[in-house]
Amino acid sequence: MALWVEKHRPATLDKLTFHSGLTDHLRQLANSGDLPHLLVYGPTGAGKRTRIAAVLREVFGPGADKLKVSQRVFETPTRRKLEINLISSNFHIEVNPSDAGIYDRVIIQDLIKEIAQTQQVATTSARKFKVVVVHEADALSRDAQHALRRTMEKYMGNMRVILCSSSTGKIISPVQSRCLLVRVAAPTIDEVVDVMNIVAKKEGITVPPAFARQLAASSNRNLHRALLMLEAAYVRQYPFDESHEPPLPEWEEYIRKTAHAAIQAQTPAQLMAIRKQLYEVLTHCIPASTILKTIAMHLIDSVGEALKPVVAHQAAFYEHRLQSGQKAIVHLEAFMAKFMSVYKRHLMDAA
Amino acid sequence: MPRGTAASKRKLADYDDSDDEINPEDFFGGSESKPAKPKPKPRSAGRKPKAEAMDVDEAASTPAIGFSANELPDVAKRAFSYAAVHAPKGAKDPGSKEVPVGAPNCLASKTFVLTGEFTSMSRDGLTDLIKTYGGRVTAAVSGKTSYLVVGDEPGSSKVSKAKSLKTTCLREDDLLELIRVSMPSHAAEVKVEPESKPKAEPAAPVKPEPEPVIVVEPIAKREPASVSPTASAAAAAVVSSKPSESRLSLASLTPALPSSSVAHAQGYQLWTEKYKPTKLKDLCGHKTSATDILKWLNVWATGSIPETRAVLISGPPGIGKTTTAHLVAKLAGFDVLELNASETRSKKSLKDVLGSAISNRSVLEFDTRALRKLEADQEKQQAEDKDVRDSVRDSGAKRLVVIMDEVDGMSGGDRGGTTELIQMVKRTKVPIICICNDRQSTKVRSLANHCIDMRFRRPTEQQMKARLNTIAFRENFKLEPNAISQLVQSTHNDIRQVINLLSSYMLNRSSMSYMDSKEYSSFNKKEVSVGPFDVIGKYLNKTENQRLTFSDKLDLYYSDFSIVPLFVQENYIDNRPAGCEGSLEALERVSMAADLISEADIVDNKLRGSQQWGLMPLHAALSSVGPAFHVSGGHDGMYRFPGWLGQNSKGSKLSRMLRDVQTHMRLRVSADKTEVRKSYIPAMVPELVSPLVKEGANGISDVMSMMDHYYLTKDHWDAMMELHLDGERMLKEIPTAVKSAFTREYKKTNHPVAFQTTANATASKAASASASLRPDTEDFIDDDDGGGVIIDDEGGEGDEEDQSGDDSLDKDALIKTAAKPKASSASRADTASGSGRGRGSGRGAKSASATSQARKKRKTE
Repeated sequence: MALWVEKHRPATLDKLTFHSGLTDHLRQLANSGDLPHLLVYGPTGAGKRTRIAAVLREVFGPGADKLKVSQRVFETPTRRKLEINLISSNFHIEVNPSDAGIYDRVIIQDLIKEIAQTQQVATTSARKFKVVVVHEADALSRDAQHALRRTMEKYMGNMRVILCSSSTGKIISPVQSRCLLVRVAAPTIDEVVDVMNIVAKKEGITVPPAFARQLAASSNRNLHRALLMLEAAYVRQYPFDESHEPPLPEWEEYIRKTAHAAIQAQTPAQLMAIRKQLYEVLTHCIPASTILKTIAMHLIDSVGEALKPVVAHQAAFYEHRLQSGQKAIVHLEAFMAKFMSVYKRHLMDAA
Repeated sequence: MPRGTAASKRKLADYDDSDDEINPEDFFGGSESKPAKPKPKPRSAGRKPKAEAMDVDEAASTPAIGFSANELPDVAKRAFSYAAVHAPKGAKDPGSKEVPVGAPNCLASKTFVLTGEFTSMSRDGLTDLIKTYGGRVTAAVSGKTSYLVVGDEPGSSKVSKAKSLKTTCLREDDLLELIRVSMPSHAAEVKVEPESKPKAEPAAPVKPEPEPVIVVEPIAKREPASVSPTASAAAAAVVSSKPSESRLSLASLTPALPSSSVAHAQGYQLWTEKYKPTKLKDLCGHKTSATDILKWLNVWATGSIPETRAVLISGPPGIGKTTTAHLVAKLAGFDVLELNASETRSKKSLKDVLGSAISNRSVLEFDTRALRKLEADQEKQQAEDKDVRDSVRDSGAKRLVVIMDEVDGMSGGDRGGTTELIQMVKRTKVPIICICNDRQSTKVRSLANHCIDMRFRRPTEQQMKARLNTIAFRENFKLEPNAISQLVQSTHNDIRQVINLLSSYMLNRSSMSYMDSKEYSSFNKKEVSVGPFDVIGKYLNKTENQRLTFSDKLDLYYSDFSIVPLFVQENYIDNRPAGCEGSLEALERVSMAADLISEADIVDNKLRGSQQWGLMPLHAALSSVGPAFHVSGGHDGMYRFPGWLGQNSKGSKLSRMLRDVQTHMRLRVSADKTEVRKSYIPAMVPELVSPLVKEGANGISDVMSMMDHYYLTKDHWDAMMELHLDGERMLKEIPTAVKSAFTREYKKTNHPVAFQTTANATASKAASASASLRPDTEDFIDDDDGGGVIIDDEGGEGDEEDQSGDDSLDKDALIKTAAKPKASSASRADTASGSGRGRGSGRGAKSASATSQARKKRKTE
């Protein structure tokens, strides 16, 4: 019952289908015997984790694929106990310090020092070092990043760090300068279609090219999403019906309805109804910037030419506020209120 | 009620006739005018003669002002309107009529009732005007009402009452006329009405002819310019024509009075000390209670022990509880041992201090010479304390009374104090008087069962007036009766506060009129704590918002700076902004408010993130005052409690559940938390639900195998249902029978587990250091004493985490504590859990599935 997206994930560098230049580069690094610290960044669904796993496989051999999950307890200076989940193999360890919230510095310090202070025992591997993979590196606090930079430098002999993040904006420059930046861009629509075709072949189904393109387009060049949508469409109806709209995830449908509500009526009462819906989506763990972008794109599509730049500008403005603020709801609400008043004025002027 | 007060007033008057008390009436020539006053008439007949006297008087000088109530048209009863009741009554055309200047106190002893809306002044303004001139304003028409002032749309009940009672009515203009005519014919009308007199004596002072000489004299004895600024300048001019004489006479009088200058020479003394009651009759109210306590103390004085050995005095602050207790003790001839909240009153200290005192006798008991001197002093006091003196002489002993002040203040530091006190009360040989503010507090409730419960009430205005007038005399300043009323009202009958207010006011002023007192008391108003519901009302209601200044509004925010912005954020959209032209403007105002709130959030982030509390005023303006400014107007329904708090906690909970799901799926799915939510859950949930819907119980095995593949438990399945936005609806589609079958099936079978969580590390140290692991600790402890015991570093009093059964070692000061217990416990946790390198194998997968086999294989590598 494995999802196709996992079943057909390339396990080695050879099996990667796009970004061949990057693949070659990674292969050279892996074979050189001296892997630098890496900062792998790019949008979600581009293949960062896949590539990291592939690189580890290349460096350490098949042993790096055998993973186990465990829970470790870390203690903060205030004697608070943190339980953190770790995924590890014999050669590497993966950690997500943002689980710890404001105490991520403690994780970094304790864990990395511990790993760095022990040498690799397994003699089957040619490499002396172990690898620590840090996920969601852009969520690291300032303190954690400063802790990281020193440990990265000091323990270079025993340990390598691979940082995985969605962008470099939030990584401080000392850390960036100690890493090799590896940019994994989102695949093009053609590349997504290629991947889908490969998967379809392995599964023994045929995908009409137009349908595949449609799916690829609506997936936003996110491979997770594309393959999941393909599987969902297959489960729903095979052979594929091209006239069918590819199904949107339920939250995206919901947000579209919310955006539509703003087009339909512009009153404070309507704003209250929209607020309820926004709360609903926010509490169900959809990130606020995703909500804002989705609403904004839908609104831009719905308004006339004159208003499109205005809406885009406002969306950018409030998205920036989202980043600097804490309570997402107030910024989303302010954006909706601003849109409503601008739109209403536009309608009244036109009338 | 009228008779009662008249009677009690007479009684007070008797008291005031005592030798060393200065009689206000004597001073102001009241005694001379006494014979001219009509006797206090019975109430029912009182009004008519008064009205007639008024009319006669008016007729004598001017044409009759006012008209009979019968001339008023009948007013139909209007439907009750909540808004109308609470809307502030403003003036229709403020300032349209010139406010005349009348003689000071020209409206004295006249009672007015206002109804309807007035043109040139608001209802409050008119009330102030009447009170400035010494009049009384009541809310209902009764036999005592002199005039009913009628505006536009008068209230129906007041009009009908006036008609039945045949009250004289005035229009607004008539009232102003009334004030104006008082000026020329009543040149020297400045008279303070001592409220201790019975009410029916208005006619005499109004007549100018019979007592020109008498009337002039009081003026001479008074300081010039003693009237409020709103009083006529003309009156002042008239009065000031005799300044030299008045000053002279005043100067000749001052040495006779114990003036404040004398006090100055001696060093300034607090008035609350200076005018501390020394006799029972000096107390404001509490007379019966004080006498009761006195009687109770007398029982002690005779040597026997009454049934209840303690008294509990309770009541609001500043009314005279401690004063009464001390006074009564002194009068009964007892020495006082006081313990108040400034001393430790824990069980131990009470035992130390009071233990002996409870069975104590004062040394003075045995010093007969001192005792006789005390008796001699006491004989100089009033006759009403005669029985007390007798008893003291008879008993020949000077006993002790213990006063436990501020009993409800026995706080955390006074551990066990209340219980100890109760024990003492049961067996004491010495009277105990306990004083508290809050009778209902938990600490006091149990104590109250063992004491005589004396509840002191706030003194009434009448009771306080006598005392305040006395003080006013002693300190040589003029205090209008309406000013006293205003002060008493604003301090909620707190005599101590009133005296303090007067003392600070009189540092550089010599008189207080009604308007002065109103102004002054508003500065010194007791801080009434406003709750957030009140605050939001003040912000969002247009009329209330307009009344406040910008800094007032900032202050409202500070009443609770965490929750007030949330209240504003919750309720600002629902408000209907006032003065909007059309719906677009309303929407734009809401948008402006929303913008400010959004900006406020950024400030808040900085504020809390880097503790820059200096940003608070900015946050106040952006989050509360600004939005309120834009959207204030009307509001339908009640204000809502902020929903953000509930939503935030719900969001945190779901986020945790999502994290859990993602971790458990990690061996199969390599994606971060957000991607799991955005892509995987929408894809997986239909797969996890549709077999149950389509195939019923047969679909259970499919679902379970998918869950097993991803290492998800039933809890995770529930969590995913919750996370999915349509989850609730989909759950409803599954028949309940299938749901319960699913749960049963799941529990029956074994399932692969991704990992085993270690022993919960937040368990108490007792558990973690319990017998099973203790043997290990000896390896880790770097301790000189072999076999040292791990004792918590953070142990304080009552630390529950001490190991049980180790009491003897804990308390043994000779055993060293282990060094670095924390490090050892952390390392213990590390070694116990491990990251799977060789240890912890026994706690692995509990099923015989392929995955666990695979894992064992991995371990051997």
